[in-house]
Amino acid sequence: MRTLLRSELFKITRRPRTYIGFGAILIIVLALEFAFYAEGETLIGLVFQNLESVFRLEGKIISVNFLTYMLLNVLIIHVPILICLVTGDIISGEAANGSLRLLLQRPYGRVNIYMAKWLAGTIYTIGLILFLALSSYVLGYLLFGEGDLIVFRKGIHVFEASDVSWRFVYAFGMGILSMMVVASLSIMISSFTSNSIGPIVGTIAILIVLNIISTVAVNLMQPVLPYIFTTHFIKWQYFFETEIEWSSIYTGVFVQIGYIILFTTIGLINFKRKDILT
Amino acid sequence: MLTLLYQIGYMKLLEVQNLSKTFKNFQAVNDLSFSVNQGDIYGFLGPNGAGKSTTLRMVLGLIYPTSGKIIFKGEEITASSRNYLSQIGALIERPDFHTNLTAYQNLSMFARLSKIENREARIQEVLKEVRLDDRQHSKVKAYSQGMKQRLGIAQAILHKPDLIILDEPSNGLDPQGQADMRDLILKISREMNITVIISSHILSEIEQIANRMLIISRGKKLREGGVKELMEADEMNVDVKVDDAEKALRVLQENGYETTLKDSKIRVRCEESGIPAMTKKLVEAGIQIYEVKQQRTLEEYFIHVTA
Repeated sequence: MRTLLRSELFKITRRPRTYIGFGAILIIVLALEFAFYAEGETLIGLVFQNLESVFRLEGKIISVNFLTYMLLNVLIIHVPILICLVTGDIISGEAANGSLRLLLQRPYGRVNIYMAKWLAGTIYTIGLILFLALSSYVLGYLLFGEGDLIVFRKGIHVFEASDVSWRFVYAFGMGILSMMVVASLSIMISSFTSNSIGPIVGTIAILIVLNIISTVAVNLMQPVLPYIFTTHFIKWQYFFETEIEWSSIYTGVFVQIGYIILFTTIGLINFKRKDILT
Repeated sequence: MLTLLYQIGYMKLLEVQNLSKTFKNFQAVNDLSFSVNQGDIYGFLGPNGAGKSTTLRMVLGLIYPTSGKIIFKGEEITASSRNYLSQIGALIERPDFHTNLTAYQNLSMFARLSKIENREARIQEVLKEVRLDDRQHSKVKAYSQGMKQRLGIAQAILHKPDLIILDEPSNGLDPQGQADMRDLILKISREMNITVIISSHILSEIEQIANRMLIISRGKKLREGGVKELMEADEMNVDVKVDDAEKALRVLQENGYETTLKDSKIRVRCEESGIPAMTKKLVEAGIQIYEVKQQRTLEEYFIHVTA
């Protein structure tokens, strides 16, 4: 398994598209942080002008913590696309170009091969999220320095700088879990097809549809919302409340782990049974 | 004892028994049985869509059989068998590598996966065998078709297998490339002592290098055996040059031979063993024979058998 995993990671690192994700995240981070650096006070002033009659705000609002919190929001829409670019292609891309055949001619079970690909996809996913965390934190710290965090979510929550780090660790952990669901889904779809684009487009389409269902939340859909994995993609925000709803977070963790297991099992069974015709 | 028997070529290296494969409503392989002996260069022939690639893929575990048995070195291959693949190398249809990697990187990855000891030396050895040692650090996407095919052979022999399966190894190669490929296959068989199964559309290639062959059509076996024996056993065209073609034609037709007149020569259909009797009839009729020439090529035989 270790040899297979090394080989999969080696292939991922040698593909140009692997670096598209890191490049895109860097561009998003740079764009947002420099935008706030240039015009942040004006932007924040507009947001807070209605509140100034009620609150008296002292100190700076824009800090590394504020920017990192803002950047975590890209997790829902942008990062899944970047993850799909690599994980959606991990089986189908090799099936399309024929190199999967050469791999399956080696004395390794298909379960091991699938799991090595899943692990490699997961490591890439974790790497991408950690890169988002690191780049937003380092640049934010250099540009804005430390500061308290003010969050608008079901009211206004203000956290002291010393009370924020652990929340970010949990939030990024939750983000990694959500993105592992995306990776598992795209790898599963990848096991069903023999073209590179299908699983990428398929995964993104599923995410868009489910995100719309989760967001619109019409009455009819309310009973199923807790069972849709995209509903839990915003659970990282729950760590930025004064009273944390742990039960809701646990539900999110269990549902998402359940989907990871489900997608991986379906993909594994399909990959183990399928005839390699390409 | 088993090893000794394999070495002297008494035992079947690969045995396929009543193998069938159905894709939805299409039967690609139908009750196919054949065996490959240690040391064979085994030609695997059939028209397009005959089921050759499907059969070879089943041997490699890429496609699961609907029914039948595949036995390698006396042990039946099941859906979960994988270890036998460490003794088989293959080049199926196209040599599909990671084109953004160099030849060396591709081979290095396969060497690792095959747990080859002394990897570096072995990679250099096979690159030299296939004459790619001077281009090993070029990306595969810059390779010509011939170079890719040779790299395909390199990955197939990298782990010193007992059997290699080559599916259309000369596909897309120019005549020189085809000749090089033929030499390489003969070298693999003779010098490396590797049994070879080769499927090819280039029948002259099989005729030149294979000692045994199997012909299939629509997934079913038509003929199996030694290349020479098979070609001699069936009827063939024999061109006969005589002094009086009209008379010779009449004599042969009266004696039940199927004949045609072609460029002042008579083409007669008969088995090799029937040639003396046929010429005797002509001599007895007072016809002088200047030349008797067998016209059978594998191509003719193939068309005759698969028609």
